[in-house]
Amino acid sequence: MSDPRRLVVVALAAGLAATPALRAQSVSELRERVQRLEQAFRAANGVATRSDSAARQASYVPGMSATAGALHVLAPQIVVASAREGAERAWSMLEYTFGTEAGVLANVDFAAQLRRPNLAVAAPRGARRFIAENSAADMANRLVWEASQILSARLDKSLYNWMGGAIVADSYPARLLPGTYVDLLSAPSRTTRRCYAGAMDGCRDAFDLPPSAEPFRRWYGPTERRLIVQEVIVGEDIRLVPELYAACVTRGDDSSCVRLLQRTGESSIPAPLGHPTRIGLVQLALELGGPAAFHRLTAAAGRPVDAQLEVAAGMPLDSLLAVWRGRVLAARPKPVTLESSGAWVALSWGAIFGLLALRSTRWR
Amino acid sequence: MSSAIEIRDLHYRAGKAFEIRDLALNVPTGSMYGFLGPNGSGKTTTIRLLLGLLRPLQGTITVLGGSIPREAPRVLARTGYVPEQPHLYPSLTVAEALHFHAAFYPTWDWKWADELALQFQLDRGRLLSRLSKGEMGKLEMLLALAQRPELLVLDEPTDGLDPVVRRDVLTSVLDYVSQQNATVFISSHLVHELERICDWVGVMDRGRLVAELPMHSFKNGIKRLRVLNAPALAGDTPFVVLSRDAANGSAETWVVRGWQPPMSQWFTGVGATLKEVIDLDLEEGFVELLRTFRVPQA
Amino acid sequence: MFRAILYTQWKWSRFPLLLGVLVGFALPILSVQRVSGVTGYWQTRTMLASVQAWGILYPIVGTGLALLVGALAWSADHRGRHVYALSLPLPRWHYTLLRFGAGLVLLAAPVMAVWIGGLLATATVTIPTGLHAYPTMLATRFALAVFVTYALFFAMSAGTVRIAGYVLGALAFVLVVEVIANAAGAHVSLLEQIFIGLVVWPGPLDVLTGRWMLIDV
Repeated sequence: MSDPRRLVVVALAAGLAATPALRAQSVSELRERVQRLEQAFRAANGVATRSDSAARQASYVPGMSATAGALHVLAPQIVVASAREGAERAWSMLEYTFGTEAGVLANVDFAAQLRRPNLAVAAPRGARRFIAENSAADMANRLVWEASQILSARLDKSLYNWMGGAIVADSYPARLLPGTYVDLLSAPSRTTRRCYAGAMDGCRDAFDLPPSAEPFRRWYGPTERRLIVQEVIVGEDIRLVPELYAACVTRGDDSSCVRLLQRTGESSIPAPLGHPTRIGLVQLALELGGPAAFHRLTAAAGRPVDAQLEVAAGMPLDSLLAVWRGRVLAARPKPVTLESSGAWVALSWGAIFGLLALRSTRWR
Repeated sequence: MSSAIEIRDLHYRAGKAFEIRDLALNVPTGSMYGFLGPNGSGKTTTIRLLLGLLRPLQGTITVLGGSIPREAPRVLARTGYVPEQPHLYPSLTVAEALHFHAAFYPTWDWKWADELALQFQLDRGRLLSRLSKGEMGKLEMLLALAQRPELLVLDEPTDGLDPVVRRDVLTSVLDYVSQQNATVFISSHLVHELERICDWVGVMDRGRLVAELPMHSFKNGIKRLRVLNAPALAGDTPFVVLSRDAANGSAETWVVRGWQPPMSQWFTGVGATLKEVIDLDLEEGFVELLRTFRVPQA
Repeated sequence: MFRAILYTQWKWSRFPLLLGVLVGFALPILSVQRVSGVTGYWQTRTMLASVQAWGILYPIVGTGLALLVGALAWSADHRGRHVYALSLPLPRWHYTLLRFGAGLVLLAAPVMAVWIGGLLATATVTIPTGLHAYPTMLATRFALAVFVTYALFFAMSAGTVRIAGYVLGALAFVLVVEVIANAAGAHVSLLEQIFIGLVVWPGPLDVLTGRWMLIDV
């Protein structure tokens, strides 16, 4: 090991081997973070797209039309094939999620603007512009996002706020269920624990259904509220409320804790089941309710959120929650510690490296 | 007469500067073969080739009847090797080194190893990294001898050692040879040392084997002659003229190989007068041999 | 022969191995220590978070151990230019196999330490409903990770300087190609692709990735 070149190679390999471990994080944390980031990105991207479209010195070219279902997309000629395939994929997802209501998209023109090269199509006033790469997958993602925003805007405001964002059609919504399982099991709330155990009132409380003014009272008991305060009020914020903080954290005065949480924005208080999970519940209701579910959901605007869900799913809320709970429990993730395929791959690679050592040229 | 080591048409190259070409070498079984040559002549390289540590480009090597490198493990089991530079693991103690080495040789003789350790006054608990050069030399020899080899290959085993240690080491070799019919292949640039113990000698220079002959022929056969009225051309001589030097006026100094006393009559036959025959020791003969090899005769 | 080689390798690697045994035994226990004072609904999340946070150390410790034992297996021979090993009366591949096997035997000790530590940790802590303990699976994964990385570092250390030069040269070439291609406007990420190929199944370092959970759902 004395030669510097050998040392560098070994050091590189050691760094390579250590990097994956350092990057490991909680699945559910990662998923929530990804979801938040994706939503933020898409929101920003949507705004940026529209402003960029206006400000960009793009070359305007005649557009060609690509239609799939109610989707009508105008795209530059060089990408019309991708736009067509993308529209077909997008329509499939949109129809699955939004059912017959997806037909309202027929009133919307979508206009694709290429990122590279910078090309935009001449489109009617009011067309929904979006920027995409020249690939069917990217076209489909952009279209789904834009169309989902349009359709979700038709929902009741209170439902929209309860969800915390738009319903975005997804080809595989069930991939979030393993993370939800972990949340259900590990969230520090009596509501999720009771939901896990099968009590539907626990599930209702965990989802804050119907929405309440101070959901943290439903979710957390005095002990948990005290710990939540320590989690959400940190650093400089403590100096703003030193006495209340001391009363809550040091002396365990629950009324102080409640007052602190009341002062804290609702979005800062961690919900046992976050917004992606709530959106997932709504998507399940739409799935169970059939093709007209979304239409019924939009038609039920103005009613309490729980009632809207019942209308969409076509069943009582408890039944919907029972189905949801069943799917979550069925999606219990496999233990991540070791899979048989991984074990065989590891053994094989170990054998390969061992053989390479035997074949080292030093020994010829 | 069988051969313990037989090399034919050996060709090896290391980089652009050094090459062993057309090497043919024969070590009779039971002999003590001195492998002479100046520094950088290729002695260590030849030894590594015949032990299979290096691979030749061409040629055949047979050691104790086994082909090298194909049968190297089998041959090495019967060969004791003392390299030029110490090659043991410095973090081991003397005792650990003995145990480690012994594990690989079924013929290892613990009793004799213990005797040699006592004789060489080696501290068993001492780390090899803390041994002096002489102690390390003795340990290397102990390891080679205690495995009771049929062939001992010693690459400059006494280089850098003080006279007392040199004597101890060479004595142990001679003792071993006197007990067993072992073959010893010993390389050195200390000519006078080999003169006393070897019965065969091979001289290496610049990758070539210059000479290979019994020691007595080498010692006795090279003479310096003082010749008066020497002929201009030597013509057909019964001996090999290595060099002629006309520095002393009418008298010339000839260095010849293969000399025998009756050959003085040849000078009479050509009208010259042989004034004096001077014996050369092995070192002087070695120097003359190399000088001749390096400067081709006109 | 094997015992002799095992002894020498033990002598060269005993300090990192002893440290590895201590750390391997302590890791599972420390990963559940923090939870011992937590009760109620907070316990599950705290336990999962703690076990996951400490879990990052398993592949790091395993890789470090494997690197040291793999490199130390050859360091003495490198220093002596392999003359001693090459002059021993056994085929080259046999000698290499003995060295390889000796390292594996020695590395069994920290693996056992992880297993025993895991059993002890999960036996002494209350595991909340819905969670399960996987000390044996964790120790098996640790063993596989150590095996793969040890084999990798052993092979690299057994190689010649020339091979190391080739590897570095290849990496440098890929880097240069990527830099030139990106400068020319082509979006190329060869190094990233190579990295993904190594760490994503069925790459050799896949066993090191993901979460190392002594206790999980």
